[in-house]
Amino acid sequence: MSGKDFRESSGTMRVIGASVRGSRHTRSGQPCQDSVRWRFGSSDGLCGNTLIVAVADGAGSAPHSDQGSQAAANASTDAAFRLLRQYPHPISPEALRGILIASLSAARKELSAIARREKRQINAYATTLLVAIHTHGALAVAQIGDGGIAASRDNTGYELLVAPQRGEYANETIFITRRASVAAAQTRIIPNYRPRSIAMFTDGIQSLVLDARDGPPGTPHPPFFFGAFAWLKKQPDDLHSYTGLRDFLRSPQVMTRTDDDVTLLLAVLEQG
Amino acid sequence: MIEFVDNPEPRCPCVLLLDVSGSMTGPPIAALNEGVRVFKEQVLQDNLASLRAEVAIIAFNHNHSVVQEFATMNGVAPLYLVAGGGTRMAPAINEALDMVERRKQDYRDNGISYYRPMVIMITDGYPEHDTPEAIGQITNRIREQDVGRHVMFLTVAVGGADMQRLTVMMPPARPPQRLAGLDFAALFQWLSNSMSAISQSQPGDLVRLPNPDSWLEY
Repeated sequence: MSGKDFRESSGTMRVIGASVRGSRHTRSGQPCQDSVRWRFGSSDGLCGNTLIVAVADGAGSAPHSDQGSQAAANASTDAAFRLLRQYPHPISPEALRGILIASLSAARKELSAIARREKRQINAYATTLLVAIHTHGALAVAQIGDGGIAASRDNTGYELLVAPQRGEYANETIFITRRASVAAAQTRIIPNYRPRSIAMFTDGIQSLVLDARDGPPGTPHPPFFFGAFAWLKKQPDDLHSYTGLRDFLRSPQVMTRTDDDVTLLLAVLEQG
Repeated sequence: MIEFVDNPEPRCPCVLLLDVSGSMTGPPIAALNEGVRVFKEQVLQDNLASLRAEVAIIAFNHNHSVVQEFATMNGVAPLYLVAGGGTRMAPAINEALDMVERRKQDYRDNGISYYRPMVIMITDGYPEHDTPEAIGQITNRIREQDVGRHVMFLTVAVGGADMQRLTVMMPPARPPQRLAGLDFAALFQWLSNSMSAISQSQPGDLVRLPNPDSWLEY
């Protein structure tokens, strides 16, 4: 998303996201396998505060998971955008759930299509996927695998909207490329939810943003989110916020805590 | 539990199930003690593995005893095993698998995530004092636990170990492996490298254990 899109779309919404390659992938010459994508806007019949965001974390064991995560993030946000434009407002919670599931299915279908075209197993593109849609004062979130979505209604505290899906072991998670992954996705539709801010992240940065002292998955660590959103509101434009976020994700503060790829997306829906 | 408050890192547990029957007397038991010392030293050189790798040790002959409860490496006491007596395996293996189950529950109760536990049995014998029923039951349990991915059960055979009888007890995909001579140092170096690899793995990673050629007999 360019700065131009941002200024045109809404005076009250700011969104920024970045994925950064972890030190382990740098050492082994692997690409960054995380992806982030967002779409929003008042144009094209969408309500002014409509926001569609996705982050995806490609599996370290899958040879083409960098492409997988990118395709999943793109296909899901594009599908949600297209479907939202077709629905008359106000949209019912059931219809919103339908759009959310359809966006996951679109990602799964896209990965199948790529795998068929490249004559590979779909597992070669294994990735997690988190999608959030905010429109007309309702919030819909879906999660396949780990990572997290946190939001705040009033900027006094943050809540984790869905619990990360994991296997029994610390190095296991669930991927959209699995059979029946879309049916097994965790989804949540929250009508009358007007978040001031939403954050999405992959598991690489989870230990910094979630406080797991009282057990997994943990609760959003308030100083982190207050600091991040206060910083975002002060940025003069998208270019500054993007380079600032990317530099933060590459800083020792983050890099000494993890050797995995990290992705963070921050969205401020109403200034205040 | 204070250990989990001080160190919330995910854990990679490993039970060493060590045969100390009479046939291990002399150089074998000395090499085994030295091997465990090397193991500790190697793991402590890896910062992440030092926080994440946990070891428990059971010594067995015709009896068995837990000589080390689960601890991260800096809490593992020096080991001075003495050999003697016969070999009864099933109760010792049961104890190892019970310890793993209890440890997983400790992790869950304290919100600690964990990797797949390993049980490594090192023996130079065969279950001479176990009844056939006990062997049958323990064989089923080992296979069910390993195939169900509840643990990874590895058997390292030393010296005069009865490979045929051990092979029958183990999961088909995980036959016992023969140690080259008394090279416990190479075995434990490999184990340390394996625990480093597991400790570093992220969700979605396929953990490939290092090549065991350094300690395998061929």
